[in-house]
Amino acid sequence: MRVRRWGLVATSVMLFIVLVAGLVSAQGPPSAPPGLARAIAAQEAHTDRLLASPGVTGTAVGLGTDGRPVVKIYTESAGVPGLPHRLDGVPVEVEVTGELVAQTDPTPIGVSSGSERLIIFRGQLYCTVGTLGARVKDGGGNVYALSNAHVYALQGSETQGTVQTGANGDRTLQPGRVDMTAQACGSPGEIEAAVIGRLWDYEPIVFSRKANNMVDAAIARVSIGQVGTATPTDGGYGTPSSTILPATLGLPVQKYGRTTRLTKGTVTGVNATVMIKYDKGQTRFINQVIIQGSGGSFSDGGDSGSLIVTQNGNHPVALLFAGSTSTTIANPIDLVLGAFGVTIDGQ
Amino acid sequence: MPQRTIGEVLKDLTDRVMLIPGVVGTAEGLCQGRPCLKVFLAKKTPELLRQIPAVLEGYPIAAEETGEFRALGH
Repeated sequence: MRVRRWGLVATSVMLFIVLVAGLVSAQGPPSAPPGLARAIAAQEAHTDRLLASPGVTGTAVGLGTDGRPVVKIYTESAGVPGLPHRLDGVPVEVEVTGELVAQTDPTPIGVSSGSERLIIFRGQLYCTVGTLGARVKDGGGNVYALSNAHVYALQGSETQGTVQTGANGDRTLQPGRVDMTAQACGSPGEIEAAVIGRLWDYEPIVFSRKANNMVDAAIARVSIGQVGTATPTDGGYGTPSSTILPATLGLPVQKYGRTTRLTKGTVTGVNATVMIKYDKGQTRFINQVIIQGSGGSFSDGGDSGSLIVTQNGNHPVALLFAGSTSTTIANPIDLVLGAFGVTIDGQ
Repeated sequence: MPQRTIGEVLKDLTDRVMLIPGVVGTAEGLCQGRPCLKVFLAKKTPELLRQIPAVLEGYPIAAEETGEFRALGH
């Protein structure tokens, strides 16, 4: 289906080129080259059959070396057998393009995401998953996926090898390896296809009962084509606002996350000091935001990294990272964004 | 009598109760629409409740059973 769609796109692009070429080269009133309509008719009549042949990636109408319209057949490699030299009297040119990779839509925010790297827990290797909370941007036009440090940089766990950041940082995946299906933690092909960027930076978490951690946050460098700015169209809340607000008591909020998807709740605590359990042990966070779900749990395992926004206007207020069955805990969003010098890439 | 802000009182309460095993957090909140202090407990037990004051410098204290808090990765 994707190859076929590309074929149709190629058709219109090549037609455009042909018509522009006609306009430029024509003396007097612009006209299409003679035989163009016939070439288009031949291409349309035979494309379905041609695309069914192994090794054919697309078709188009273009101009041959003699300036006359031809039907072009694109192939993965040279020497694809059984291709015609003419179609309904129109000459055929075969062009090798290699395998065409379908352009997919950017991934929405609020979905499964994680690090390629494995963690070690009680001597066993495990893969992990969290949520891609939002797309954020810096002053230089670079965009990043925002999540937790324990999701993208595996802070709080022992890791296989050393976490890397920057241009050669750990690869960031969407979906996370827990959600891959070919085999436990994904096949090499699935992992390769899921790469959306590289871990760029994260805030280290200090482990101590007296620690003053304030954010569990990390950013992965991505491209605009790979990560979008809106939650999924089926059941999301839309696009977060680029204007953040402080989390205040009683504020109605919502989030979209990998596990419990869209949930609504209320800010029930601010300026919180809390003890949080990670694989490595317990540590302290200060200045945190407490959220209670409305008519059910606001979050569950795998929702880590979700952006929490106001119900009115989608203004970001906090980054979800921890909780219990009854309670959700999040970092104030101004501290998260300030840690990396970025802003929410939203509306 | 000048009353200290809820933030100042919360700081003192936090220093005091976070040392008690079974206390997992504190926060500033609302109780019946009025500012109050919250103490989060892994489990609400009579032994634990005995160590939490009901009021501090005029601010009511609500002890809530939240369970332990965990990072929510998978």
